[in-house]
Amino acid sequence: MSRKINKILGLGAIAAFGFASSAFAQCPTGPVPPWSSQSALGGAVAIVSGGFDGTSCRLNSSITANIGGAAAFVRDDTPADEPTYRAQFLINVDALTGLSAIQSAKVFGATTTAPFGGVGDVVRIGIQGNFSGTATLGVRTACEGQPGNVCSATSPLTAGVNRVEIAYAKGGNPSLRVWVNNTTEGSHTLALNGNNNSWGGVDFATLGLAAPSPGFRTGQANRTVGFDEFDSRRTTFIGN
Amino acid sequence: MNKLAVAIAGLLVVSSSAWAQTCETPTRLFAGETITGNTCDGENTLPNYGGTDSPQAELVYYFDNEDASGDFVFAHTGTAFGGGMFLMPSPCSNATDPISFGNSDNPMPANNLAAGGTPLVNGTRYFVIVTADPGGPADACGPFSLTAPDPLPVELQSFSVD
Repeated sequence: MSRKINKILGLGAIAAFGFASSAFAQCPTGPVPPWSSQSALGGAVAIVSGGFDGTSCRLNSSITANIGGAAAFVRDDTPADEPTYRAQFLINVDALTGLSAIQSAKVFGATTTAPFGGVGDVVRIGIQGNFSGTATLGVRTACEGQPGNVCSATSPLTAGVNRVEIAYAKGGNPSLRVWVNNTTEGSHTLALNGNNNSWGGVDFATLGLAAPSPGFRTGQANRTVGFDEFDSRRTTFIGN
Repeated sequence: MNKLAVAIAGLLVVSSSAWAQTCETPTRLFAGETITGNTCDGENTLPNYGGTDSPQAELVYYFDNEDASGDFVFAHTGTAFGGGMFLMPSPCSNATDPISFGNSDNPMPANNLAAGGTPLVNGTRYFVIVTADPGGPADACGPFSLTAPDPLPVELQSFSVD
């Protein structure tokens, strides 16, 4: 957990995982600060030793109760109506065994306080299973005029740690680019393009499990998803 | 003497229409019926099923539950495209999480109870959404057959009183 958040962004250094670069550093007892807040309703978030990229600590998130609205995430309030927003994080979902196509949860959101059409997350990254029970990344973004005012895509995840980066642009073409285990800026893994002009800019971001489906709550309870090295910026590619 | 002749739509093979089969205009499924279709004729009107993102085209069917049991059986009728199906409770919407799923390898229980979930409610409408694997390519689609279990609600095809 050595990487600080918002390296260049100018969003302000919230340094969510920026505790220490030494692999022997002691982990903090909780995520706040540097995160702005945490939500652990029917879930648990914890900073534990053992980062994912030679770092010292990581964030663990798990859903512990089968209740609607269960969540276990941290929140960064640093963004302020950002029309462009980039973020990167590492995620490991190996503990979710047999993740099925009806088991899903949000793991990252870039959200506006000026939503449109009932959609607040201008970017929503989720995990879900496919028909074969393999973990897959779900990607969703604001798309006015499309069903539900969203566009979606999916991308396979690999076993172990996955690196996910997003670049959102209000009025952009494409409006969302995503890199999965890919640190080459010119060759994003997937892109979505929709009219997102009716939404406000990004006002906060969340990282951790949220909005678990009923199937996830019953089938993946108490199983941990790990996160590390969150970083966010306004414009420049984060990469490795 | 009254005669009541009720024929159920069983073991029929019906080709589903190519016009949009969406949440607003789903096609009804009957007991034991085998329908054929092609998800390439559909659209991606449900970009997500609750938390499950699903960029592939889909066709929407429905049944009004009355002690449904057994399995929905999906099969590819052409080149395999990773097709399968979801069972979604009402309302049919991108905001609704499905409660069961299946594909050509694994039939989908008509009653979620068999999958360890809560039982379906009689008199309630449920939707069967045929699509491609949400984790696969967004443009995956193709021809399929879908056989509904028996019992599902029967179709009254004729009725006469002497």
